[in-house]
Amino acid sequence: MANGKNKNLDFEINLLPIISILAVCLGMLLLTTVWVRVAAFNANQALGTEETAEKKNPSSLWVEFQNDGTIQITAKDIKNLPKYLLSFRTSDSSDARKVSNIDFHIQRIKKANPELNTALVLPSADAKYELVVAVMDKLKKNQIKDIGIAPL
Amino acid sequence: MSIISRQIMQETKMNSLIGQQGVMRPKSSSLKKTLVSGLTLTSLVDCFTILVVYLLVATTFGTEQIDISKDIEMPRAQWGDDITSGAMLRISEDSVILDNKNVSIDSLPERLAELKKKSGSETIILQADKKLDFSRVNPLVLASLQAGFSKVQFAVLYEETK
Repeated sequence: MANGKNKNLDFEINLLPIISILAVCLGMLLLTTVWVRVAAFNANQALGTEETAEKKNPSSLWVEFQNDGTIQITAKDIKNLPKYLLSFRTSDSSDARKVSNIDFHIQRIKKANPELNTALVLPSADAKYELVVAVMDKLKKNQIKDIGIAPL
Repeated sequence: MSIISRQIMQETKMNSLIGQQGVMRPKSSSLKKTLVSGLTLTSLVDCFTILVVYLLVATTFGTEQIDISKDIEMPRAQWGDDITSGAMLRISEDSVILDNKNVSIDSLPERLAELKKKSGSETIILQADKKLDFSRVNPLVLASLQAGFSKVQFAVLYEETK
């Protein structure tokens, strides 16, 4: 009861409704967030002139998509590589098996030549983009960092 | 009587969580009224903790955030690198989009050259639908080279390593 001299100043801030609203907003945020990460494959392209071209080609892998659907892997300028690893062709009907075979072959080459760091992908016109990316993924998996794509 | 009531009040006073002390004193003209306030912050701090954890998980440091077009289903990969900044070129089954504007394949080299001149960036980010043949993607790669972009980044959706 207020009198002339002294007044009662009791007050309380009720935070419970605010905290409830905050919790609901947080829950909605967590449920509606799209948990997707985007990555990329860097493909360096040659833009230099002949003057800047190196005289000696580095050892590299060429991954060629043939018109008949097969994929050929050829080792270029790699010294002391066993003959059975110089060239490989996969002709499976399933893309997943093709990629798996390619992965296995690249692992063997990399094991025989750990310094191998360069690959060139030569897709064909009717090669699926998804398959090209899957091959690049396997090259990256086997620590082949410099990947180039040769346009048609 | 007033001395006894003061002692009782001293013994029964309640301390708030943040150390403030409020003492209710009985109404009396000889005693002053004091301010009493209490804030319960524990639940609020819990909410902020969840918010901080969410921000830590959702934030990716050092990588560029890009918009993913809803009509492009990008291929998945496990060993892709972090995406960096650059011009964005998208191709779906029925359109080619350069920096959020529809372009035709014929005018693409010219538009890319303008963009290169304007931005000075060496990198172009290519978002392509996974179902496309490489013959559809090839003109974009060629046009990028013609325009002077030395780095082409093929955007993929990151897949956890199995």
